[in-house]
Amino acid sequence: MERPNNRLNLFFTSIVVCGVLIGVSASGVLGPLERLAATPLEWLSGIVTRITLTVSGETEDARDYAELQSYVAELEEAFARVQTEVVGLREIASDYQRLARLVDYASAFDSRSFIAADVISRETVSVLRTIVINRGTRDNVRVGMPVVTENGLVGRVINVSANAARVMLVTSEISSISGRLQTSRAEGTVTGLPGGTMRMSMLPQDAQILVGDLVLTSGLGGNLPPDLVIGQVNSTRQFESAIEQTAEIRSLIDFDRLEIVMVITSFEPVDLSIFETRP
Amino acid sequence: MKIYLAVLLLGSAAVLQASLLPLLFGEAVPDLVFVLLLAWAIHADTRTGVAWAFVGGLLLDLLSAAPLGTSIVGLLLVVFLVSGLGTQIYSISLPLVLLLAAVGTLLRLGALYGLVVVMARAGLLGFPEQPSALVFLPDPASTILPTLLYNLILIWPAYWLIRRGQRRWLRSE
Repeated sequence: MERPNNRLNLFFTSIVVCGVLIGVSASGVLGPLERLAATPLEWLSGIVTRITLTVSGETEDARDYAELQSYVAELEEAFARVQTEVVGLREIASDYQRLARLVDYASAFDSRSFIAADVISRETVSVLRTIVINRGTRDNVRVGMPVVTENGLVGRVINVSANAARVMLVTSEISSISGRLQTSRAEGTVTGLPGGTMRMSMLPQDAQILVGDLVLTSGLGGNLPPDLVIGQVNSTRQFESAIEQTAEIRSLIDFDRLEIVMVITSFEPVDLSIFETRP
Repeated sequence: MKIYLAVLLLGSAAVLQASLLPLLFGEAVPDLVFVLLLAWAIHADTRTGVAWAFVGGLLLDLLSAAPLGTSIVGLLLVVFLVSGLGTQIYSISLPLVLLLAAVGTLLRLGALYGLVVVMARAGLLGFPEQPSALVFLPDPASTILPTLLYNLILIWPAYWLIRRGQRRWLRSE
């Protein structure tokens, strides 16, 4: 058991020793000794500090790297979104240009009624070259209605459902249209060929056929309205023994990239079959 | 042997207090040397406590710009506070240890900052004279209170560990 007096003596002695120590140390007398004693402690502190800084630095680097990776991922995501938007906008611009041309074309025929339609499927590799559009009876589309673009005749509606219609292209091998050369006004029949081109046959032997001349619908037969562009004369052929001429015609329409078409809803095909019946 | 243990424990604490803890905690750090000293002094005799206070204070002062002995005074006050109360108390409880830690922290920091201010005014710190030595006074909210909080958190595990070490030490002797 410590006596209070002893404790008090120890306390005062300690305080006095501290005071002397502070005074001596502050005077600088113990400077070399202090530096010597502090050296290992400072060395240890330096090691601990370096380790801490290295660990924290690597942690920060790892955090920075993770943040950068996250940032790159965000940028890539934003870039993908922008790219998607750009693709959408380009699509809109492209549709706008096509529709503007179609409107220009339609405005030239104020008396006709048109309805625009998207091409939703095609089977251009088969003999029966057809496309399917997203308009049907609900939009007053009927069988036999002509389908056009600003570049000319696409074909005719051959089947129709409530919200879709199948269109036989003018290049179909079973398509037969009455045509007329724009310059000479010579008339003939335009049929499809396997290669996607057309042939105009039954042209009079004396008819002048110019390469590059436009071929228009004649309106004969009542299946199509007159003066729709069918195509352009690509080459001609005339046999000495034959009584007629033929011309190879190329459509101005790229059927492989057909996206928007117009149906002439104001045209109704004339049924001439009644005149073909014999008593 | 006990003094070697004190040097080892308190030396490690002083090194950590001067190197690692400021990097982790900033300006206000846990006073590890004080916490270990208090935990030891609760069940030690006054002379051993004084020896620990001198060792811990010297180690701290060697790692600071203050003259040797500056940190010892506050630690001595803590030791004699515990020693004085020890004769009145028969059982140590958590609230008492926390109370000792709180009062001891304020005593130690008060003595330390008081001495620093006095020495600064007397020009004993070796720094160029300041217009007012009050510049050395710390902001209680940013230094004293966080240190007090850290010490209160650390004192119980430190006391538990030191107490186990002391019991093992006594059995081996």
